[in-house]
Amino acid sequence: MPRDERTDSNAPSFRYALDPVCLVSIALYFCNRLLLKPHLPHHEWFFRGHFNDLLLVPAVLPLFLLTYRWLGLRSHAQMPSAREILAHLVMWSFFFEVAGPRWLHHGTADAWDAIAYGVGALIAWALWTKPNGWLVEKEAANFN
Amino acid sequence: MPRMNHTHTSPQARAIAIAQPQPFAWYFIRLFAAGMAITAYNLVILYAS
Repeated sequence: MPRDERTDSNAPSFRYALDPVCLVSIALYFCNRLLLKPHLPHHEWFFRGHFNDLLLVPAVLPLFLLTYRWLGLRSHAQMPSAREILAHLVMWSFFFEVAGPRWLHHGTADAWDAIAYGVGALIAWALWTKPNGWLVEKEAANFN
Repeated sequence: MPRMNHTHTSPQARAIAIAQPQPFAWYFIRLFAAGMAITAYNLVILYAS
């Protein structure tokens, strides 16, 4: 166990690529891409344009964090922090909405995509952090 | 029982110690690897999506 492994028994450990939020997001992405999108009309905007963007943070961030874990740059198995989510959100917004379209000539720059990444990040953050908070509050209430 | 000399370092042990990357340098090597991984993942996502 790494020296600075946190051993807070109340905190559920993060399962990285096997995290339920991550697995459900990946499943939703492929369902939308392979099953739903081909049957939707071209003017449909949510599932065609932005639904997959909502899934970026919950589906991909755990895989990035797993890589950091393998490289020894993330020394604990706690849920993704707000700082980690925000840093990746900024990086992806820049990469996919500025660098990709402008310098790699791939993809389209759309501010709504970045907003969708942000909304997805907010939902993922709530799912990753709130159950722990509720659990701790519940246990504290039972203790009292 | 022969007297143990704890201050003595064998030439092999010294060579291994020199060959080992320093913790600070090792950190930057891992940081560089993370940067490469991030770039690779981002390119895969960009071109696959």
